Amino acid sequence: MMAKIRIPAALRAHVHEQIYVEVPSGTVRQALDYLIQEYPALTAYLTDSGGSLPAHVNLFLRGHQLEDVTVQLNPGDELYIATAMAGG
Amino acid sequence: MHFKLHHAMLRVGYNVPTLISSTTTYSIPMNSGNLEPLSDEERAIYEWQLSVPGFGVVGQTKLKAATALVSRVGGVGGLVAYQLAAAGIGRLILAHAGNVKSSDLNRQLLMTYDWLGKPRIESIIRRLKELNPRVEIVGVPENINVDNASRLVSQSDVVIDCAPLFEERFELNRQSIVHRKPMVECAMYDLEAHLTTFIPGVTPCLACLLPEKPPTWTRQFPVFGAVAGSVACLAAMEVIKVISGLGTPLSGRLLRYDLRTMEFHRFGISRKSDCPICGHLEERK
Ligand SMILES: [Zn+2]
Repeated sequence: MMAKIRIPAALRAHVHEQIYVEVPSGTVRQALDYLIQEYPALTAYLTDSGGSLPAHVNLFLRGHQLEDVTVQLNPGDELYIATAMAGG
Repeated sequence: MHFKLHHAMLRVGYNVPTLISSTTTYSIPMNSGNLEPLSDEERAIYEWQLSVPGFGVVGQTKLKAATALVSRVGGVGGLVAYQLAAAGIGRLILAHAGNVKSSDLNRQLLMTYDWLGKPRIESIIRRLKELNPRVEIVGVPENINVDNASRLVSQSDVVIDCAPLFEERFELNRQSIVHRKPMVECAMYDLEAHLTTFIPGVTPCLACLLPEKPPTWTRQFPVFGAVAGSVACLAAMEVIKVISGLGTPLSGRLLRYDLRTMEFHRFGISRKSDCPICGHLEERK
C-alpha cells in the first residue's frame, strides 16, 4: 500500500480533479517533490522563492500539524495539504 | 431604517481559562451579579434549548448578557448572526460594508431581493430583527479595518471571523490578541470549509496557523450557500459553547471538511513561539 496526498479543492484543477494522489514511499519532502514533478502546475502553489513549502500552506499528518518535512511517510499514510481559505 | 454605532461598555469580562483539552469545557467568565434574568417570553421562546443538558437557564442567561462581533455578515457571517439571534444572544456587533448585489443572493441569506442596491447592513438588521426583536444590534456599515477593529473588538466578548479577505481576518486576529478575546475562525472555499476556536494565550492564533496570505487568493471564490451556511452553523455553536461553558470548544484543533466527499478531518494545531502576533503572550494552561 502506498501513501497518498489529499489535494485541496483549490489545487485539484492542476491534478486532473483528483482528490487523492498516490506517492511512493519516502519522506514528506520527497512526496511533495514527486507531486510537483508529476504535476508541474503545482509548483507555483507549493513552492516559495527558496524552494520550500510556502508558509500559507499547512501540512497535516496522523491527526496533527506537520512542521518537519523529513518525516517518513508510511504505507497507508494520508498527507493532508491545506491551502489557506478565506471564503466568508 | 436607522442604525448607529454604539460605544457601550463591556457587560462581561474575559479572563483566560484554566485549561483547554479535549475533555474540558471553556467559557468566558461572567459576573453573575450583572446577569439579567430571563423574562417569561424568553423562557417560552427558548424552551426547547433550555432542556439541553449543560446549558439550561444559566447558559441562556449568559448568552443574553453576551456580545458577539461578526466580521462580515455575508454567506458565512450572516448565518452565524442568524443562528446567534435565534439562540438568544443579547447583543450583536455586525460589520459589513456595501450595497446588496444580485450575486450576493445565492448565499447571503440576510440580503433580500427587494433590497438590491441598498445598504447590506440595513437588510441584515431588518432580517435579524424580524426573527428576534429583543437582540440589540450595533450595525457598522464598514468592513473590519485598522481604524475600527480595536474599538469593535474591545466592545465584544467573542469575535467571529467571516471575512472574504485575509487582510480583514489578520486585523481581527491582531485585535483579538490585543484585547484577549476568543475568536471563532471559520472559512470556506468551493465545497471545503475549516473551523477552529482561538483562545489567546492558550491556543494558536490565526497568524500561527497562517503567517501570510496566499498571493493567489481572489475576492471571488466558488461557493454554494449551503457550504457557507454549514460552517456558519458550526461556528455559531462554538460561540454558544464559549459563552455558556457548554460542551468542548474546538480549541487547539482545526476541523477541515469537504462536502464534495463528506470527509471530515480534525487536526491538532499548536502555538508558534515566534508568532509576531501572539508569541509574546504567556502560555496559559
Ligand atoms: Zn499566533
